[in-house]
Amino acid sequence: MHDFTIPFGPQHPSLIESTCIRVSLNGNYIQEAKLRPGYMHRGMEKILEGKNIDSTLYAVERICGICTYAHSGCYVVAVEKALKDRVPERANYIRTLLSELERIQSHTLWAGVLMHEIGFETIFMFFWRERELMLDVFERITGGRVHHNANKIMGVRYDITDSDIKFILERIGKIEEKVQGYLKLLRGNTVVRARLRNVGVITRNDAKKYCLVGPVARGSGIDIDVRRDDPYMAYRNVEFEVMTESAGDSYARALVRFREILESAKIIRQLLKNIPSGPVKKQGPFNIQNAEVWGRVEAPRGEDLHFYKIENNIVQRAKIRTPTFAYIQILEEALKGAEIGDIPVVVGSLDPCFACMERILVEKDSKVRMFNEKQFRRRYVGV
Amino acid sequence: MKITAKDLEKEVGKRKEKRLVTIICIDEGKFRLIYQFDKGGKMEHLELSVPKKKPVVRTITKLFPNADFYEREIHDFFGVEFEGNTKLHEKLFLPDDWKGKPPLRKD
Repeated sequence: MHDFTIPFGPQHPSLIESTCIRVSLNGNYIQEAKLRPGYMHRGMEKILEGKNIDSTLYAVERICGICTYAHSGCYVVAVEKALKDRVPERANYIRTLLSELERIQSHTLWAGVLMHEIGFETIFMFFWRERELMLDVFERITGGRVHHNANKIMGVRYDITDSDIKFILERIGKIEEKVQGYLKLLRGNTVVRARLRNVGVITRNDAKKYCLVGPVARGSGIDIDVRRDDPYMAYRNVEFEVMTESAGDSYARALVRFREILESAKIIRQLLKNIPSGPVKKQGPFNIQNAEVWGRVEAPRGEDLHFYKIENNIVQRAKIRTPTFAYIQILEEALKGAEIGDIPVVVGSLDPCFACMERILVEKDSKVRMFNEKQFRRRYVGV
Repeated sequence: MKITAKDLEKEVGKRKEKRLVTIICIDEGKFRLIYQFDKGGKMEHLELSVPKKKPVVRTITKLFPNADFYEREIHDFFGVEFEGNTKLHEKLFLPDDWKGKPPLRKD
């Protein structure tokens, strides 16, 4: 039996985004896996330096296509700490609503992708069909399906009407019904269980040692959730459960996310029932002379943290620690002993967002092009 | 809480039960390193400075294995050396043959 080291990626049909995992194999079994990220790096932190606080809001939303609202929400949660005023309460409820809608949207996307990885194409398409319900809601209340531009500093752009609320509740009802049906189907399906159970096990000790976050940590029994531990927006006003499982395998992480979809639907109902009346924004301009601010939100993948150093309304340093960056190192541990066919399942069950995690574009034609700051800014930033 | 680079391992050791959230580096003429910890929703920072000419600090990967990616990112983008981190010189987000200066430095 020969030992081989093969690259899984950066181009691979199972990978949604480019990344490279170098696996050392003994026959079909993985002895060692090494993650080599860097293929999706876009220089976000550098781009944000020198932007004023209003432009930064638009830029951070574009860090990721799936967790866009999480980044925008985290930005306003951070920056508003430097302002003395309070955000109008109705705006907080709308922000929380958008965060939970995004959680459902992200988890249904992930569910489809995981089913695709194990070859269950029909359910993949069904999940993505249900996800359209969420995108319709986003389009109706913000104007955009993926990037919403819903936030402003000290508020949200647009209010929601009573007919919007009715629209949302209808769609939430539909999604709840469908997802409960799929969950029943998947729990009873032998092939799904065979592909997911005991695959990519992360023990509770490892989860603690590596300081994991999000559904990856909760699937291994770690009870953390920023919405409950460090509440922000309107999370103090809603009741919800934090879902955990103890097995730590891909099946456990899948169950955590499915249950979170249903829990998010419950949160949305509470928000829409109790939303207070009032304005949704405050008139600017807002002035931040000198501040260092932190913000944390529970993005669909876990704890997202933004740090900004602002002087005279200009961002001097932006640090974005996405949830994927916090937990991706466990991939190397989780793959040990797995079979090569399990790689897409394990990667899928961690639900990594490499676009979020990496922040300089490296062009690879036949040569690697390297840019100094001036060239990079001229080419990609336009200044 | 401000500490010196010498006390880093000791102070981080006292916080072994907490969760390491991230390590941030800010270029302000000297490099300011902020280590952020969390327990039950309460955040705590440890802050230290290293001079730009000799940016060397001990690694904390023995206590917190997830610090590896954070330290490598700071090394690639700022040039800070984390002594004891064996994987430090493997590039994380930059290409393997990057010959330019660390990109996020102000100079």
